[in-house]
Amino acid sequence: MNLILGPIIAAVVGAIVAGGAAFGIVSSQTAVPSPVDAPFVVYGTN
Amino acid sequence: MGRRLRMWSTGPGLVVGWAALLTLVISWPMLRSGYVLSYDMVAVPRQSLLPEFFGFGAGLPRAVPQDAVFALVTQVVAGEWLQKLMLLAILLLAGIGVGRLLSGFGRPWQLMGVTLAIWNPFVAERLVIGHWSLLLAYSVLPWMLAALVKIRSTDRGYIGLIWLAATGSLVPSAGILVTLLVTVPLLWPAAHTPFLRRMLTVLCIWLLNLPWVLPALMHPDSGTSAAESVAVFSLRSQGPWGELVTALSLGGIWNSEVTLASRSWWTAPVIGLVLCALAAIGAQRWLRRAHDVSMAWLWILSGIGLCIALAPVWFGSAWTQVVGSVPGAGILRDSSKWLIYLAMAVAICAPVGVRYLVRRLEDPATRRAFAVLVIIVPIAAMPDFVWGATGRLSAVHYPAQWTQLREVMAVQSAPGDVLVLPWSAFRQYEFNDRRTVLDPAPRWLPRPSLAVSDLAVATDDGVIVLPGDNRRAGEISDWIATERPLSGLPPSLGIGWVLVESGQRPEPSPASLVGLQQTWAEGDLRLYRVDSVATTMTLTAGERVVVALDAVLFGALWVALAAAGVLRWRRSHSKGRDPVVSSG
Repeated sequence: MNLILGPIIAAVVGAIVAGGAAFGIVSSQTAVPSPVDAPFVVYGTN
Repeated sequence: MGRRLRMWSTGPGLVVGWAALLTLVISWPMLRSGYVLSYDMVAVPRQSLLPEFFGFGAGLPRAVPQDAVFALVTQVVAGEWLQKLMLLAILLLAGIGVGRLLSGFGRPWQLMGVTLAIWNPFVAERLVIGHWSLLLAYSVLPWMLAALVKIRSTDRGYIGLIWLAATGSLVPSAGILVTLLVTVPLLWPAAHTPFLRRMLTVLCIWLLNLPWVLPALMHPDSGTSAAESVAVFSLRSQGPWGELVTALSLGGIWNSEVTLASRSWWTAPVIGLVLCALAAIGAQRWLRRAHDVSMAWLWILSGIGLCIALAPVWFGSAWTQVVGSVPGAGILRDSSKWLIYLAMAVAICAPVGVRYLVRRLEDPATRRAFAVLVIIVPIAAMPDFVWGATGRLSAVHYPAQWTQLREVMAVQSAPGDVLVLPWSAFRQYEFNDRRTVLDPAPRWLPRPSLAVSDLAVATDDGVIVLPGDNRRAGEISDWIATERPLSGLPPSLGIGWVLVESGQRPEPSPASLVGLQQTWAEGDLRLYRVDSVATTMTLTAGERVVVALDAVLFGALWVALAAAGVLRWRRSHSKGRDPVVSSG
């Protein structure tokens, strides 16, 4: 039983991690920067 | 061969290897040829030893002694390699340090500690904003905790602790954080070690802060902070869950541009809160077994740090009053910086808490699967930290004209400091993929320069200009605002040269450059001579004494390191190693 359970858990965890990583990388590249209510350094206006 | 393989698969090599793997996964783009330029992180091939790097520019000493150390080391090592070494050291030291502290708890929990120490929002946000000296302080914390345990139990390791404190005290805020960590555990009664020796060690570590304390005391500005800057630099909620949950999940840096996208996912608060709860359980287990004063103090400091981080939110105007009126309190304004202790406490104690809970599981396979899960969950929760925060931290090359500028400037005999235009603090260069970075010109130039010290920040109330603490720059700001020609600058301001970086905002008005003599131009850089005879700014006698003291302090540290190395070598030939932390 344990011989089957280990690889199954590893596969599920691996899939979640890989999916999460892919989603994170893609969304970080396409995310809208700077939420309007949070400050950021203004380049070159002063 | 078999023994060596075992060392790497199950021994301490596994911890070092995992830390190295995570470090490489994060820092690979930074290791390419070139320089990582991101917000406050600026490196150049060679930095001259200028008064401003010792804290005697016109502004408060904010990057002291960091810049002096960088300038000194780049006399023999290229800045590119020094920067890469620093960035690698931060991640590796933090990971291996926590792994080493957890050596008595079992391999999976060591690996989880390594992951949490390297892969957390605090490290990610501070790395992107370029606060590498603060992160260096973070990375020596676990080593300092180990050194404190060693000193209190064996009366050895004093020089090592002082050296760690010196490494972690390269900027004022980091120096304070490091000094706070060591003071109470060293002064707390210990049965087997003489109080005087521990007291002297505390004194030495306090003295490590003199390189920035003395210039700050000699500066006319009191180190307070403008009222509006407290609100601007305060901790921000990174989702609808509020500031407290954001702080407990170790994020909340003020600048929204350096926040990773994954911080707004629902996983961020959930995993952050779970880790905090596990860390609290772990701390209880740790303290019950080891009676470790330094760990107890780290947790007290974590609580104090959390309160400071949230003070602008909780106490609003009262806190603004404190930071705006108490001398030196300006150091508290970037409030999420104070989560440094909590970040380290969670990295060390959460694995202990998980271990305590997992040991109750009956099935070994489930236990193993759970162990694997907790090692990689922090990575899965913040996957966009991978690959230099998905490309934000990648090395680039300066165009050749920057090297030429340094060479041209080095042979000029005409006196005066260099005024750097455009009159704004940050740049977005094409060669740096238009990522925002602090103007590198003051570090490239072989003579003192003057750049704007005001900081423009966009908030929901519009753009706020936070006044700087550089009075000379303030006078020049007024001059530039009226669009008068810079050739008419009063000689007392000490400006002999003007450097213009084209293609950067706001472009200086043509009227302001009238009457200046163009001496050199290449690519985007133009250098002008101001005809009026500038008054050369020189160090006062008091400032010279402080620079000499810095040199003595630095020399003494190297002598102490050499002495400690010799002593250690002699001891290693007569005695075995001492245990670091007992886990029970």
